[in-house]
Amino acid sequence: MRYLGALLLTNLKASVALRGAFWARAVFMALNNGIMLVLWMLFFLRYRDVNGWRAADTVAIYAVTATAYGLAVILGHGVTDLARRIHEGGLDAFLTQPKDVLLQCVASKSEASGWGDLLSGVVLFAVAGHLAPATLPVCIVTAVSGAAIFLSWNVMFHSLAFWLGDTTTVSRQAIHFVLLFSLYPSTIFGGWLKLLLFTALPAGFIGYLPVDLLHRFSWGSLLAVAAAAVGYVALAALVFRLGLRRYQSGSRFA
Amino acid sequence: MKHLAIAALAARHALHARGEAVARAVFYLAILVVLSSLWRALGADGSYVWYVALTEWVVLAMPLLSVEIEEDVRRGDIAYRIARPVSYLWTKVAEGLGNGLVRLAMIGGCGGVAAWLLTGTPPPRGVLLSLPLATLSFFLLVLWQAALGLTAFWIGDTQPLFWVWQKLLFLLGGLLFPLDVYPEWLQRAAYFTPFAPLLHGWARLALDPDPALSAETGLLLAGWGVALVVFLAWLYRRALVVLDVNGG
Repeated sequence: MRYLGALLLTNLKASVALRGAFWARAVFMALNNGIMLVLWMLFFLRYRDVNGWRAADTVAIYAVTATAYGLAVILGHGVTDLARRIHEGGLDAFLTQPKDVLLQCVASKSEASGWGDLLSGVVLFAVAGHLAPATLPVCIVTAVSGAAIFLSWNVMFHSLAFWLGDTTTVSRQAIHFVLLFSLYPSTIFGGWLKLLLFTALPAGFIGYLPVDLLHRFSWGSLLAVAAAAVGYVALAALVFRLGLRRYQSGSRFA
Repeated sequence: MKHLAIAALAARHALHARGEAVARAVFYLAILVVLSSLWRALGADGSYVWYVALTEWVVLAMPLLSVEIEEDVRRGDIAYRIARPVSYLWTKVAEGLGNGLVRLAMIGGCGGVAAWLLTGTPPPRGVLLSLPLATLSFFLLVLWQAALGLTAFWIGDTQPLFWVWQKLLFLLGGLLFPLDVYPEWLQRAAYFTPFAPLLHGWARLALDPDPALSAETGLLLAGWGVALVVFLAWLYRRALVVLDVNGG
């Protein structure tokens, strides 16, 4: 843990070092989220609800998703280089260290725009009145589990590079998919699509179930969100380890 | 002539880069599935899905010139590219148009079939009427991308500016929802910006196939197109001056 903390602190320092770029990315990302939320609020001025889904639900889903995504890219933006590193034999530098390879690689970079996401997420939680003592623990658990799912999903797709070559584009697309489905009213999906969002795509565990939890707390839902996070992390670690057996060095130290 | 040859070469490259087109097409289909579910839940007719199929079509086919220009500036490749006997700016625009038009054709077919299957209705009459304007709008999007890319000469990182520009396309351009969904004041305000004619102006023909609307949007797009070309030329001249100062 101490090692991980030191690694994260170093990355944060590097990210903040270019002060202008850091602030531009953080502020513009918050603005970006703000514009999307205004768009939805205007939409709900016209259509009061979508199969029972109201403006407050959209505020909540943006709060949960933005916070989770912000945390994921602040703490683990190194994952976006994983497929390229695997493909080009760039894991050598991490393999020589006496620490977990996956953890080092994922935590090797921090993205400044994540602070904009995190800030807008926290502001939205506050606006929706969820930062009260009764719901604050739920906000924290759903944000952390959402971040873990985002990162695990990314690790799984990037790890496919062990078998398929550079999968960076596919992995980026996979995250866009999850984000796309996580931010729309869950009530518009039914049947096989809903099933898909809780199985093949983890959007249900990142956005829909947490919003449900914030409005109607139940231990069962909380357990489901936490179990999904643990499950995705375990699955991602397993896929990476299986793939690592096939890894071929880039001979960078030869 | 030189720029036509450059565009043709870029188009040939795009024909071989099928992976990129497939990735964009798959995302395009996902957006259509989501938006068609939304409009179905609201009891709207299929023309709203055709509307979003049109707006997303040109936006997803758009080449990300801003990223390419930023890379050239960041790596310093720009130094030898501007020394060539063709303008760097218009070369990038020609390349963008060449590969973008191929992608437009590739993903357009997928979107058309998907929208037909999702709505169960053939394209409304206005969709055909909107196609020439869609192509003109696509040309303007390429120019916007080049303008965003040129800001790299001053700010280095163009991504934050791109995010906000893209979100203005959502809000003022009607990328996801037709502007009619929004309050009257916003619709009026949007028409004073270049974003409304860029997407909503012609895609609304899917909802209301009025030839007068089509002519009005064509004129607006042409006007904004001329303004953008003049602005780009000015911006490029200024960018070269900044580059001289940095390189001196």
